[in-house]
Amino acid sequence: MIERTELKHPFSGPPGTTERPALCARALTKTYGPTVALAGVSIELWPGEAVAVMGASGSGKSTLLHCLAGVLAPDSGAVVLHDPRHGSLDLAGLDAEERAAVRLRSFGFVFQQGLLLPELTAVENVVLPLMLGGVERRAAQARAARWMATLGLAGLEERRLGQLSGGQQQRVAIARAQVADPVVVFADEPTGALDSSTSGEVMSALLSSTRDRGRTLVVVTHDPLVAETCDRVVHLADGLVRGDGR
Amino acid sequence: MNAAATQLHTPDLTGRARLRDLAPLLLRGGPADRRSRLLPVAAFAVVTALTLTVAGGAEFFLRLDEVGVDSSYQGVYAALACVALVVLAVPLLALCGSAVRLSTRRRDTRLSSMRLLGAPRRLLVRLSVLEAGGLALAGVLVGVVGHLVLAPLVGTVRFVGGPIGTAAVVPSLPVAFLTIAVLVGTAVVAAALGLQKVAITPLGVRTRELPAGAHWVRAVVALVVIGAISLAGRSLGAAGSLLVAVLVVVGMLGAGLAVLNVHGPWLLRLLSRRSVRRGGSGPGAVTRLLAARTVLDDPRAVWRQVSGVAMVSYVSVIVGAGLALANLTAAGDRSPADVMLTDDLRTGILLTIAIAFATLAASITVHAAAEVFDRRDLYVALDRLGTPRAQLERTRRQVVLRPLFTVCLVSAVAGAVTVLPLTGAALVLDPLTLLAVVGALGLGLLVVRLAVGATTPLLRQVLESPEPVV
Ligand SMILES: Nc1ncnc2c1ncn2[C@@H]1O[C@H](COP(=O)(O)OP(=O)(O)O)[C@@H](O)[C@H]1O
Ligand SMILES: [Mg+2]
Repeated sequence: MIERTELKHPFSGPPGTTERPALCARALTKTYGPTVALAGVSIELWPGEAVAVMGASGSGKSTLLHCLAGVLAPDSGAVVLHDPRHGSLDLAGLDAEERAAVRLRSFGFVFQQGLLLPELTAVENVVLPLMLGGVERRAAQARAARWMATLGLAGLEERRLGQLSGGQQQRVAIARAQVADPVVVFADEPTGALDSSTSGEVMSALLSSTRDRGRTLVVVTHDPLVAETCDRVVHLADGLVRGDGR
Repeated sequence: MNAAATQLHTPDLTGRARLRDLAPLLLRGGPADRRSRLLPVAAFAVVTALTLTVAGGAEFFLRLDEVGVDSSYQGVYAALACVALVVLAVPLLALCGSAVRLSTRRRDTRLSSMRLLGAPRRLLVRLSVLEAGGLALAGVLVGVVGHLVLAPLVGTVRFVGGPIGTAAVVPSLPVAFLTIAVLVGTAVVAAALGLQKVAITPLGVRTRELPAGAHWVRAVVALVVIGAISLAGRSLGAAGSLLVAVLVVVGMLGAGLAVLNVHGPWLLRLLSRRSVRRGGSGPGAVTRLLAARTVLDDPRAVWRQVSGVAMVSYVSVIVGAGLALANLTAAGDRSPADVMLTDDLRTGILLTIAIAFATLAASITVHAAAEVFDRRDLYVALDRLGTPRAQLERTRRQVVLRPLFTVCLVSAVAGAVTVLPLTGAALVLDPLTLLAVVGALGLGLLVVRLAVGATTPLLRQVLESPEPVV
């Protein structure tokens, strides 16, 4: 289904080329009734890059993140994803079902509350994306356990989320975001609920598992210390990019 | 970074999610879930036991020739059984609705997280159907046992000149299977439709329906419909046979109930809005504000709870008036069959009201219990702020009792208006019967109050061990 909707977009080229942005958004707009959340945002995200998105509360950071990640469809504009494994396509032209499929195979998510399922154990949360992609339970579990070990969560696999600290929960979320080897990982205030030293640990886990492996990381944050660890900071104000620098 | 993980190959995610693998994970639920899952199962069990009993009873009245009842009366009994079915369908459906809502309660957040990760809609639909269907089936099985245990008791009820017996209460196998299939089917369809409405947003932002403006046109439409039913009832009832009259009454009830159901949520919203605006000070005002806000949060859900009472109060006023007149006019020369019919009519009314109240009590208990879990955050927050427990309890009661009281009053008045000349005459000639009806309604309110009170231990439990919010 995804293949059929693939667009011959000006930004698209043959799969396998690396000299292209992983994500390229052009003139994104999004309104909620009278509220203009995005007023025409253009942005390019490159492989191996960690980008911080900053701005006042209500400036459109989350909306931008959701549009880039195919969670929301923008009112107008284009979001071209280039996944070396699957080629290029414009997310804005996909329906909800197709965007879900793209999220599953190309994106990872770490949100403030993690969006983990409290009913499941830590490792069960991590295997979910794999199992949604049809990977057999045992194989998924083995892969998940390796990622958890990498993130310092060895031995905590069978814990329920309520039995983990905030920092541990976020690392579970990172493991879940990483387990399917996404092209871009989106994090919305991943350290928002953490103290500064835990926040540092979570950020370095995020960076080492994404940027340091040639993937792209987009972090929405209020914290200048978090932004400092990224390669590039994009400032939003009133739904527009007001600054974009390294 | 550990090199091992870095060198992991990219997994192939082009396969299909396997329901067989995912279902045990996602339907298992946490410990708190498992506890609250008893609620929908219990609700389905009660619905099943009652529905089977009602179905068995209705079947008994549709096959009276086998019992040897005079054929000229068989039509009347059949029609009366249909009235009872229509009347009982409302609270039974409400309870079934509560059960479904309970079984899909924790579902929305879980599904939106799954959707964010990219789960296909088809999978989510299947998971919900599996969950709701499984809980319904478990409840139905318990309910069948409950029905069989209760059947001898219900069998002692006297109709057509003697106890009807256990066999009369137990429906035939085809009817039983049909009933069960309808119940489980309703659960599954409602779960799938509910999912459609949640629209499974990956953000879990449940954008609430904006409350529609309280339009005066609705009130006018309601009055016109009730007036029309009333007129139609009078002209037709005067002309036709008893059977026609009964059918007219069925139609009137159905239409009246439909009007009530359309306008109920609107009425609740209107009244709660006024309550919110009223202001005032002191604990009473806080209780009132919280209760009104809770109703405004989802007037439809609150309505579903109280609609059973609306139905009982509407119908019992109508039937009570009819019975009062029947007592008076038929006091003279009556054939034994007529006497039997009047007796059976009274038994039938009492039985119907009793079953309606039983359903209502179950529905309110289950709903109040679910509210404790659903509004855990609210109650915990209020508790931490230092709100006395007694006031929390008062708030919980008011959420149900205030709308209930209003609805009871409005429906009783609507019922009285529908059969206006009858009520007038009954009030003058036989006030005792109408007093009995009012007494029955009072009893209903008491039952509901007790039902809410029965869930107090759950609230205590939640306040004493609030679950960590993830
Ligand atoms: N679901 C929604 N419905 C209505 N308005 C929304 C919704 N989501 C966001 N908004 C509005 O859009 C604007 C941008 O929101 P958001 O992207 O969440 O900002 P940020 O993440 O920068 O705080 C805000 O004014 C917010 O109120
Ligand atoms: Mg935000």
